[in-house]
Amino acid sequence: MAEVAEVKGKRRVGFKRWLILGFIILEIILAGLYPPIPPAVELAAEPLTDTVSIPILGDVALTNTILTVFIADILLILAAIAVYRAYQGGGLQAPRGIAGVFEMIVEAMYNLVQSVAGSKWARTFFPLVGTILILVLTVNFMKLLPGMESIGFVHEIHEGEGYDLQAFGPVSILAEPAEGETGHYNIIPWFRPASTDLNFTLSIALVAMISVQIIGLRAGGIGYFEKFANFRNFIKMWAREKLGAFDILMPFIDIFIGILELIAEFARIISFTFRLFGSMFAGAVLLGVVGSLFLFVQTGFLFLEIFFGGVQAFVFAMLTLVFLTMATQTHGGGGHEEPHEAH
Amino acid sequence: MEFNEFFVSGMRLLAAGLAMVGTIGAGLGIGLAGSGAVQGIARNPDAAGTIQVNMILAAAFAEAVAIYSLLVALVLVFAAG
Repeated sequence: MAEVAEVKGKRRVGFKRWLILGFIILEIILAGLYPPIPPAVELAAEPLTDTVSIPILGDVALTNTILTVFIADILLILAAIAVYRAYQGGGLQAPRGIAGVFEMIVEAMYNLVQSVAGSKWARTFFPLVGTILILVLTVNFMKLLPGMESIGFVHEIHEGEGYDLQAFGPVSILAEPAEGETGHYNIIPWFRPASTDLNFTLSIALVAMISVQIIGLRAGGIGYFEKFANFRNFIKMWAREKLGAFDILMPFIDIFIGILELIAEFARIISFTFRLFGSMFAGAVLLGVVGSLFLFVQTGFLFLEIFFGGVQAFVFAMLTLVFLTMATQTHGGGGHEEPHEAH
Repeated sequence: MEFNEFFVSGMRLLAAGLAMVGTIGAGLGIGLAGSGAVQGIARNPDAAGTIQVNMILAAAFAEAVAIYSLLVALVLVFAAG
């Protein structure tokens, strides 16, 4: 009995916590030897290869954000294969490991989709919403991996401020230039979190909003476009014998509302794009700046970034879901807007 | 018109600071959303899950405004030359 307790006690003082302590001590030593530098902030993604001209697409280069998206895709495909393998055996046993994680995410997400969109549309919306959630979540969390935005090609810059090179074994690292001098080197990172690139967020926003239009068309038929150009009352106006003030005013109000709806659709694309981009870009800059100023405070900000990455992915997926649901609902019974009620 | 280089960079930093004034509205909005959600949950604890989801959505809408101003400030400080 005593032996069992001792074994349990031994297990509690595990190996991993010593590993973590070792990393912390290593961090202190390394940061003392090579002080961290504030990062170079680039708004646009940096190309890693030479540009290649492709007939339709124009000049294309492999940028560091695309590389990160490819890695995220490969990770997700591997995860999908692993989950598929885990369920291959069949049976009703509880899933373990990565299959359990994905079952949890998928189940929670499906319940959410069903509660917002109703069971009629849930199966249609779920693949899109779930894909957006998992992809954005993966890409956002990849920002927290070590090596992101810090390993890459060193290149010489001719204008502006840079850093000095310092030998570090077989590789060289950047260091703060000496007092009163400006360095001439900077870094093009190999990996950069994809959601800090406008192209990534814009493309997902476009996919989401185009899907909203398609779903609206499927749900409401051609009458869906009445939302944007409502001439129903306008046509009625010609048919009327006697015209009151409202009968003339209402058609124009309807047309104006249609224009507003059209603007709102584009505003949603922009809002989708900049919400994710702004949040993640600011987070990356924040992590870099804080990491260069204070040594240990960055750990707290990493937790903050985990939270923000999760919240932004959730919000992106939820808003897509809400817009999809709205597109199916607004024109279910939209044709019954009688002008008499407005009087 | 030509301006002094230091004047321009100073004005850029000042503009970045002024851009962040926009976060006041977002802070108020998120505060309102949170207060409303907590009151709702206190009245009806069973609806906590639904209220939480809606609160996060509303907070995200309000937060987007703050993120826009943060983005403008970041562009002014780092990217606009």
